[in-house]
Amino acid sequence: MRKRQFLHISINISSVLIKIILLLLSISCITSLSSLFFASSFGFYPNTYLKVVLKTFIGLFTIWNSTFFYIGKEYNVFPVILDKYFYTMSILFFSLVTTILLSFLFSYLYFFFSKKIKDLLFGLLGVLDSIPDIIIILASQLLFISLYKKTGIKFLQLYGIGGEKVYFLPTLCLSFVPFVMVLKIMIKIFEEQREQQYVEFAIAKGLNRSTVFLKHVVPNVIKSLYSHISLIYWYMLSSLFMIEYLFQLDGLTPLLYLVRDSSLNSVVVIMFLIPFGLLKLTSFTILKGGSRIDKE
Amino acid sequence: MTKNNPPKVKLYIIFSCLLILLVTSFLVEKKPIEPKGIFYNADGKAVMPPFPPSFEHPLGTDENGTDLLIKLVSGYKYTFIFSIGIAFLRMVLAIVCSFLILFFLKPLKPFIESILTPFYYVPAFIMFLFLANKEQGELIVAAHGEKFLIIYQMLVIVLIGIPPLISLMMGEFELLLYKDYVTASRLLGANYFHLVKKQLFPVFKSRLFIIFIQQTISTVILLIYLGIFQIYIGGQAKGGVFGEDDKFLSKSNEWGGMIGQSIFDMVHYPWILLFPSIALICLILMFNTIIKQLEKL
Repeated sequence: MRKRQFLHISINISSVLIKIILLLLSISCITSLSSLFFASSFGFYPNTYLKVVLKTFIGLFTIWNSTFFYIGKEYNVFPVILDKYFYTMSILFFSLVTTILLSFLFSYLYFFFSKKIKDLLFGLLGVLDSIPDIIIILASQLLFISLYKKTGIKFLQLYGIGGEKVYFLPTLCLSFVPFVMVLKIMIKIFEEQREQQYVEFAIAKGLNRSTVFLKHVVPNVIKSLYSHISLIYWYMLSSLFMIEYLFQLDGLTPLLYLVRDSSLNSVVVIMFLIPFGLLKLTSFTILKGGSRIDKE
Repeated sequence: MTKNNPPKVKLYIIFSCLLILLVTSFLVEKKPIEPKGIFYNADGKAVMPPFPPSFEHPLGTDENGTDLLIKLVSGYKYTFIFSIGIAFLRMVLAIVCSFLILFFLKPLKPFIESILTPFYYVPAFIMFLFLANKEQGELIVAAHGEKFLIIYQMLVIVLIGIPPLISLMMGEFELLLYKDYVTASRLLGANYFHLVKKQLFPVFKSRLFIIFIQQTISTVILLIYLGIFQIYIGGQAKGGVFGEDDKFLSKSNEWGGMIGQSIFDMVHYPWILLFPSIALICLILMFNTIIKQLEKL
């Protein structure tokens, strides 16, 4: 019995290992894609491609000691990349928190409106949902620049030129796109929860709506929101690239398209996948734990 | 029949709007508009484009003095046909691939999924920049000419969209494949082709159409992303802007490229950014409404 359990665990670990190696290989395949078609001229070079993929894969394990060229200067990989990573991730984290707080606030307000206003607001959300993130970014830049031109007062540092770390506007822009999405998801979950019997019972018992909302509905909503978190992360990631480009931030993402070093590019991709993996792991355990409580 | 079915009426209205725009877009192309250069106004002062919105030019003009409304309408057909075509190609290839994996490579499925994961999390335009950035584009033009570059860019956009689509489709098809009636049909001896044709597609049709529209929207957005990076689908042309001769502009006036090329001028001439953005938002809104109405059907 015990032996079988041990065997089971070892099989599990080996399959996870194989998956991780496949993941690394596929990342190296993506980042070295350009050598499939381009050497000194345009063509099809499968042999060179395989060699480059292998080189990239091996390079992943020695990347910490090497250097890279970025806008005409040579940098050591090790301290620089962590610094950039920290900055990028703090913007991502702040805007994730902003998104969730704002959408909780708005869905709390939504809870109290009448049916007509609710329909109107939902229509408005549909319109907001159709605005691409780039247009939001450009429009907000335009707004602040024209405010500056009109009043002569500099409200905010807009661009991260000269290594300055800008937080406010990038965070705000980055939270807008997922905000609409999260709000939509939340409203849907809230409406589902409202029709549950326990909410009706609590209201019938004479508890006021705020208490019902905060004590009974919110914990349930958090649980189902957690299952959407990887999707939200993905949405934010692709607009993060645009934000760092348009605000000229000194973050991690330019390393993907400004540096021609496939090993370094793969490391950047892996670094973006790490929080995603952690999120997925925690959501897995939380959802599992939740289901166990339900069973009891 | 249709009177009792408001979603259908809305769908017809949207489809006819899109078609009318397409037809006008083709008609506009036939009469080229002479761009206006520097000219003198009533006070004898030299006036240079771009001009703000006025009675003569309802949406203003660009740096060359070309009317923005005409530019927008004539660019619409490229945006529309390009995104629809790409979405269609992606769908066909992804459906074929996901069936091949589900039917013939079933044991390897978890590993294939972990290979596909990074494609999901590397944004599409970054993948495009790996495969066809500006310098690489110039290499291709040098070797094979501009038409080849357009086909190549299109193929790249199709291919980078396929892996996430495959994992999406596989998930959906798998749910269907384990339904009782499909198992029954398989036990009775139906082959794979019959299974797909008779059992899966009739159920899956409207969902497929929704995915198709979603892919179209994501292509339109990808075109803006590329426009921001100064990669214009349909080729680039020397701007010919007064004083800035080496600036490249989109040749086809495709909407994503128009937004992308406006980021340098948006501070001084905001309408160059504003109107294409509004047009694009309207287009995406129409597609989103189609999805919403289809879900109601």
